[in-house]
Amino acid sequence: MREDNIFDEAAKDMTLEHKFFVNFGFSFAKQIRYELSVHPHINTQKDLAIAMKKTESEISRMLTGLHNLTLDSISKLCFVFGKELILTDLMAQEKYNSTLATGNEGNMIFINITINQFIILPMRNNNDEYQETVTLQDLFDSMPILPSKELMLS
Amino acid sequence: MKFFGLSLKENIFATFECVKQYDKVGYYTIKGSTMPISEFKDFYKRMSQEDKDQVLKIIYWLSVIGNEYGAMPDYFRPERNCHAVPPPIEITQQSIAMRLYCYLVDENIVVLFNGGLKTNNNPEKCPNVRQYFKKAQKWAINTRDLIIQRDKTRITNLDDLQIVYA
Repeated sequence: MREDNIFDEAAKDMTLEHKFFVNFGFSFAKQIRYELSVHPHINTQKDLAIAMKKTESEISRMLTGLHNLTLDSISKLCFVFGKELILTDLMAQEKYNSTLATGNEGNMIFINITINQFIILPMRNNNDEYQETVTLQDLFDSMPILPSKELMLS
Repeated sequence: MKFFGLSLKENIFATFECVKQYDKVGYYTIKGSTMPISEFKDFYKRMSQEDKDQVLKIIYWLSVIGNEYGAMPDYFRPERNCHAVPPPIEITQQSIAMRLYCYLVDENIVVLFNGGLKTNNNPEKCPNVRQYFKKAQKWAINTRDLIIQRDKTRITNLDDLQIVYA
């Protein structure tokens, strides 16, 4: 079946900035949904709206993944759920003594998992400067050296 | 058509067209028989001139929904009989926001209509989106009444589907 080419046409103009915005929005929305599912008291959008002193429609918008969250809103969410919901690369290093993404060369990306363990992952496509998201499965699958793999899995 | 001095308005019909097929969602749009391009294409062309950045975010967002999540109602704004893709920018902060009206047949099939930059919380009071909002309401009701046959995310009786366009 013939498809209109609007999505493909738009994809040519998309930058990593557009993708980061949307991917981050979805990740954050997913995190909020998770927090709602495990919090002892705040389990619904209505509970969250009351706790954050916002309207339900604002909460609903946050959960769409296409919402421009402000630092103010993120801080309120952290306060309400009583935890840090965002972990920057440096914060992650301090917490886990690891670097999540350190750089790229050619069409390969270098990931430093723990000290002295470097893994090379192929990039998804040559237009991306570096791979946008790396799942744990990607990391395990890409580990060629058995001792490291066993170390990580243990 | 004139009939004994009375003006009887003839219905113009619209057919459905496939925009993009993803693993979890098939996106469709409608095209009026008297219109040169489909509603979604019109939205894309007009809005790309107004704010291409927002258009690209919305399209990428639709592609992520289509590939990974499915068209769950939580990801869309309910707008009476239809839905809308929500704004990437808070209306209260910048006083403009893009709306793309659509109809969720279910989580696997979405019909994209048209939209614009909304300047008022009430779409019926916004000169930019009023016409698209009203049409989307009507088209959504008409689409709801159709019998849509499908194979997962693909509408299989596309040629049989049409609604009153105007």
